[in-house]
Amino acid sequence: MNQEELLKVLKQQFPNLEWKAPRDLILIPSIVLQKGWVDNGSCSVISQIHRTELTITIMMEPTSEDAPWCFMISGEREHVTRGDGTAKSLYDLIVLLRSSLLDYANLVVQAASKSSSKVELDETGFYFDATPEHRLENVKNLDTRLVECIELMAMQYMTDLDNNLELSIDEDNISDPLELRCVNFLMDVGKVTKPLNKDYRWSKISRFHQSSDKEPAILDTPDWSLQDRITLLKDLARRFLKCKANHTMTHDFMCAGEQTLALLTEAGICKLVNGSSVFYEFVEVDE
Amino acid sequence: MIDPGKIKAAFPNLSIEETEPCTELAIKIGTTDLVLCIYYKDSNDSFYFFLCGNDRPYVYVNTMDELVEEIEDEFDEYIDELKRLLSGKQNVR
Repeated sequence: MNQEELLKVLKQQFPNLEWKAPRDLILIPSIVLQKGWVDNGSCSVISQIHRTELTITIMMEPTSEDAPWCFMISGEREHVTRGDGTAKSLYDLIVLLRSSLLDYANLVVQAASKSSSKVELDETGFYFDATPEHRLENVKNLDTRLVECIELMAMQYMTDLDNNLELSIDEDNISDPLELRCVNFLMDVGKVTKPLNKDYRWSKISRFHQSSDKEPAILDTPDWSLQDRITLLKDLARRFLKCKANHTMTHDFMCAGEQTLALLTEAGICKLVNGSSVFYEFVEVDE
Repeated sequence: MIDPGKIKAAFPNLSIEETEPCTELAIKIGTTDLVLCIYYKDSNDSFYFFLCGNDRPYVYVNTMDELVEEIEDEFDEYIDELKRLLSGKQNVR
C-alpha cells in the first residue's frame, strides 16, 4: 500500500471530500502546521472540512509495504488511531474514519441543537430514526445504484466462489439459495447468459458467458420488486460480513462489499454497531 | 454589548467563553479546534461572527436576535455540508 493507492481508496469511499497529497498541501496556509509530519519522512493525505481549519490527516510510513498508518481529526485527540498497514487494516481505517466523521458531525449537530436532548445522524447524514416510508424513499432514490451494486456484488461473490475460496455456506447442498438468486439476478439484468449446464450447481461463474450485447436495466426485470432487490443485497452484505470476519475473500470482493455497506447505510437500511468493522444492524424496509 | 445569556438560551449545548469586557465570545464545538467567534463592534454598534477557519465573509448583524438567527443558518449550512461529505454518493455542491 502506498500513498497513491491510499488516495484512490479514500476518494472512492469519500467522494465528496477533497483529498490532497502533501505536495499540494504546502499551498494551503491552514495546513502548514501539518508539514512537520511530512518532513518526518512519513507521507500523509489530508482533507479539509468545509473551508474550516478542521482537517483529517492520515499519515503512513512510505518506506515499507506493510506501512502502519494513523489518522486524526484535528483537535480531536481521541481520534488518533493506528493500524498495521495491511489491506484489512486499510478497510478498518475507512470504517474508523467514517465513524469518526460521524462522531464529529453529531458533535456539531448537538452543539447547534436548540434542545439539550440527544439528536443523532446516521453514518451518512440521513437521520437513522427515519420512518419506514422515508427509508423506502431513500432506497427508491438510490435505485440505479442499487442495481449496479447488486450486479457488482453478485458477480464478485460468484467469482470468488470460482476461485475456490470457502465462501459457500452450504457447499454440500445442490445449490446455495444465495448463489441461485445471484445467478438469476445476473441473468435477468442481462449480465450473464444462460448457463451451459442447467443442473443449477452454480459454484462456477466460468460456466456462464458474459453478455455484452444487453445493457443492464432494471426495467427489464419486472419480476424483481424493489423489496426483492433490497433483500438480495442485504443477504449479500450479510454473507460479505461473514466472509470478512473469516478473512476469506479477495480484495475485489472486499471493495464490492464495502461499497454495498456504504450504500445500504446511506439508505438507512443498515447501521454500524459499536464502531466494529463487522457488526451491522439491518432494518426491514416494507413496500 | 453581546449578551451571552441569549446565545446560551438559544444553543444550550454550546460552551461559551467570554472576554472582559464582553466584546468577544469564543464558542468551542466539543473538543475540536473549531470555534465560533462572535465580536461586538462599538463603532457601529453591530455584531459579527464566523466559524474559525471559514473563509466566507464575516456576517454582520445589528441585534442579538438577528445574531442568533444568523448563527442558526450558519450551523445549518455547516451540518448540511458535513452530511454531504459523509455521503458515499458523489454529488455536486
